[in-house]
Amino acid sequence: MSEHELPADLAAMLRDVPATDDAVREAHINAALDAIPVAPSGRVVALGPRGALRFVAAAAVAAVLGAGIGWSVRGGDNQPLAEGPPDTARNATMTTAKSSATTSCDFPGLQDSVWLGEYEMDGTRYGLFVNKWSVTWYDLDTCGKVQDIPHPTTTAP
Amino acid sequence: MNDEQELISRARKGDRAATDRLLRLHYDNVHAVCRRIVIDRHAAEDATQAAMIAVVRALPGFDGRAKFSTWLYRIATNAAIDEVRRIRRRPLPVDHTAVTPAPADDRTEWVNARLAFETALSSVTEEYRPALVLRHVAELDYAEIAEVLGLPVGTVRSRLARGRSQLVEALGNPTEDAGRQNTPGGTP
Repeated sequence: MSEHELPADLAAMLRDVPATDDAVREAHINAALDAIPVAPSGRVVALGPRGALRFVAAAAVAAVLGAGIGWSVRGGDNQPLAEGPPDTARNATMTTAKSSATTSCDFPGLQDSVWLGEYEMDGTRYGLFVNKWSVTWYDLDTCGKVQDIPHPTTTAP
Repeated sequence: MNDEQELISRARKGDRAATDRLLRLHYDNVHAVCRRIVIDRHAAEDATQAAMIAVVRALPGFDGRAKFSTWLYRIATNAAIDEVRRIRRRPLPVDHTAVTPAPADDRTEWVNARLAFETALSSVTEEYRPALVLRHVAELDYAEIAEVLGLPVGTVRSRLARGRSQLVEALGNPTEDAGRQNTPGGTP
């Protein structure tokens, strides 16, 4: 027998752990399930955006969910995060926006818009586009437009 | 993608049903690890709950580079060690409710053996106990234990050897290598 291993009967005793009461088990599992982060009107999981755009996306998500971030988005140092939309949005000149998501949708008519990211909410995938003035949501399963919301970090014209 | 991978994938996205099933699949293992590291029944239950909550909160960040079970045991072990540290200034009680004393019948010897084992296990140094538990309760190999504890494999080996030595000595049978035959609390 290896000097690192327990004798078989001791190992068996170590493994022989009394089971938890069912009530305790249920309480533990329910408490853990309650720890799943839930947004005000649904569960939102970011799938795509990175970097600075992530914040714009998060703000847009919150705005769509009615969290009221709106125009008052600020950074941790209490300074505005941006006076306008991200450079990527300012510099884009697209007539038909394309996403990097795994979708076959085309999104015609999104002037100056860039792909912001893909989100999942309550099992439905949404794609977000951003331009200088707004964030536009599309349902990636139906390719239908869901909503336009004002850009969270700038004032609409 | 197998069933567990599918569950993990869904749970990472916040799917409550998948998370529920995943937790139920692994609950007993997490509890067993916590119970054997912490010893005290109620403190172990606290550690188990803390581990379950930590698993849910950490799931979105699980990237699949480690085996899910290894990742899970790391969380459980950390929760148990945290609990042990929290109660360090109190002696670890032996949980006599784990093996309810029975009348003098054919179960008496079995019960006494387990009481002796619980007592002996509580005397194993906190530094060595997690390695013993991960090896024999979680049934991890040395490399996996090293990953869970963040230690070199050589250190894991030495902790297993020392933990084993302490346990056997506490059971009053330091020369068991020659062949133990009776109950761990018994006299050769």
